[in-house]
Amino acid sequence: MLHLIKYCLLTILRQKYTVFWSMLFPILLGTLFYASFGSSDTKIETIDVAVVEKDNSEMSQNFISFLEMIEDDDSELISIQKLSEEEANKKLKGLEITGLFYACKEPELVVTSNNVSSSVLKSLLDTFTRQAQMYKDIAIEKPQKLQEAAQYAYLEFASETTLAGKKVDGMVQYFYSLIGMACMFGSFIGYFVSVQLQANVSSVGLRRAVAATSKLKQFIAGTITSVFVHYISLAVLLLYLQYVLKIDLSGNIFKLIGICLTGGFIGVSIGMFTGTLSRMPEGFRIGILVASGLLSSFLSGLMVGGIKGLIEENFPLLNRINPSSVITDAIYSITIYDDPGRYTLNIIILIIMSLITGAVTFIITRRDYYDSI
Amino acid sequence: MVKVENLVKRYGNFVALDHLSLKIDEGEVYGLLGPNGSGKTTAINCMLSLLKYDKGNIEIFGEKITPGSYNIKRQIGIVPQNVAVFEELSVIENIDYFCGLYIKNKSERKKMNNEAVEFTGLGKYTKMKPKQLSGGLLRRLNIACGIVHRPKLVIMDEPTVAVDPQSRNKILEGIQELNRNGSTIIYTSHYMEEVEQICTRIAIIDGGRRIAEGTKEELKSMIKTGETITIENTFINEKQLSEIHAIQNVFEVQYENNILVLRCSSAKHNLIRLMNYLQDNDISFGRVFSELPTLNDVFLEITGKKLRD
Repeated sequence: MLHLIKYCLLTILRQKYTVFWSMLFPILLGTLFYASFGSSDTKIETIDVAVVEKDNSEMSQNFISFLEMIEDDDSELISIQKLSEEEANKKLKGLEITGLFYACKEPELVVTSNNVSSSVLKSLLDTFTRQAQMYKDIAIEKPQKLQEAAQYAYLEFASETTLAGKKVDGMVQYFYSLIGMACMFGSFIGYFVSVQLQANVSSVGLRRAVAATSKLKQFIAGTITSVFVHYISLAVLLLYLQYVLKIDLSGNIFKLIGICLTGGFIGVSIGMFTGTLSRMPEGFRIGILVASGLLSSFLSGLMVGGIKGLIEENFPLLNRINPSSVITDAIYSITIYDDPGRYTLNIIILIIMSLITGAVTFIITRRDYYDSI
Repeated sequence: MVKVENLVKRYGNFVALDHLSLKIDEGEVYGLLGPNGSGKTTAINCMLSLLKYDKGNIEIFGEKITPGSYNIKRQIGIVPQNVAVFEELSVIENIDYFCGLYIKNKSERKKMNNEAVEFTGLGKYTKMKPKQLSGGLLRRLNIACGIVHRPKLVIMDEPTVAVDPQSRNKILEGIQELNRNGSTIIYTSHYMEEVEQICTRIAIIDGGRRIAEGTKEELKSMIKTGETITIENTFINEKQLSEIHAIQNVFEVQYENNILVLRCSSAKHNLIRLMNYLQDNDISFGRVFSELPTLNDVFLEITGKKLRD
């Protein structure tokens, strides 16, 4: 196995177009973004939001305090205006504010569009509701722990405010989409390895197919090596973005690695699958790789910032099945929204995609007989 | 060593192999001779259990071969028609890689790699990448990768395509040496000269069928042509042409572009009789030569078409 892995590694690293598309191109594009947009320290856009106090309940007061606490935070995430319902609706329609919070027994949020800012507001409401519910449960079940819980709850509020209160730098989302694209461009590595395994696609594949080493073993070695190389190239990209370009990717690093592990696997397996399409000419198959990678990234917002939000409004399913969109959404969920549920859902979608693409590729690649060569 | 019985392979309505049967004994250099598209490579791919076939049976080393027959595959070396090496690896890395698909022991592998390099005369090029090699050297690398694990059976599918005559001779000498060292060789080609030069037994294939089999002498004895006489730059009229046709043992006359070609059955003094006729009739001529029958003549007589058509 080590013999197979060693030579697979050498062939991948010496393949010029594989190295360029999967390793160098994302770094080059990141550098171009950086040169065009400047660093992520660009002045942030604070979200203007109205608060309408509908009743004078305890929950309503707590919610207003919560929002004021976030407003006072250094992140300058939101700017709240206490308005009457009529004034607030007028400003919302005139797009002077992004959203409208109703402070009442069950706080509510009204937004006019579905974009990153509105997602942040929704995330704030979710955070408050979740904490409030937890506080209520403890009060009912273990009232003796209420004081202690209140302290933790406060700490968690404060802590979550910091996490959820990430600067909504419009430029950073391009870099998130870039990570999504880099995951997808692992397809070039997968493609290269797959082609060299197919007797009906390459002469080397033919020679390997009649050798005394099982095809399964060769397939596993090829997959392990290509995924490993892709993970290394993703790690290099993340380090480059974080430490050289100083892009703030400071979510939970393990969660970010989780995204890259699943997203990167999808990229490699899509490439391996494309490599098995023996009836198509090679140029066409490479065209599929480039086009699918770029289209997927375009739809996730790599070229046009608002495209993902537009799709979410009109055809949300596309955002659930487009790997790049799922990857960027997973990154948003840890860096902006601080929404563990959303992160988990995205990871589950990515794992399902990985399993499907991986299984299909495996079944096609390891076939024993060919109909024609 | 190899037994192919009634092999049938269809691609839709097209019959690529039509009840093909072959039997190859240990120690032979067995030639599969046929024009392009005759089914040689399809037969090889079926023997290697790469292609599904519709009917028939294939046994190698006395066992039916399947894709999972690794014990059989361990003893087979393949030299495909297209050069099958990694562009990204050097000569020695390629040889080592393919050797490693058969041999696990590293030191044993190293020894075998060196032997293969020496055998194919690639010693000076071990660090080079395939792109840096000439066509002939590339073909030699293709062979080295196929024989490095010292297989008992070597299958070579047109290994000299697009190779210059000098490299071709080296390759053919190498194949004979391989055979002398104990390997059985299956050699496919559409170059009859090569097959004549190295093969101990030959099967002629056309349209997926075996149309003749035997040693080259046996094959040549199957046909009527014993001698082909060619006379260049000669001027002959219709009457003289029919008189030549009537000469003893001449059974076919062709006259085109002032070149006269006669096919005669095997007998003594055919050329002398023809010369006498030309002298008696005061017919001038240029170069004259006589050839013994070739495998092309065998193919021509059996199928009615030339081997390289």
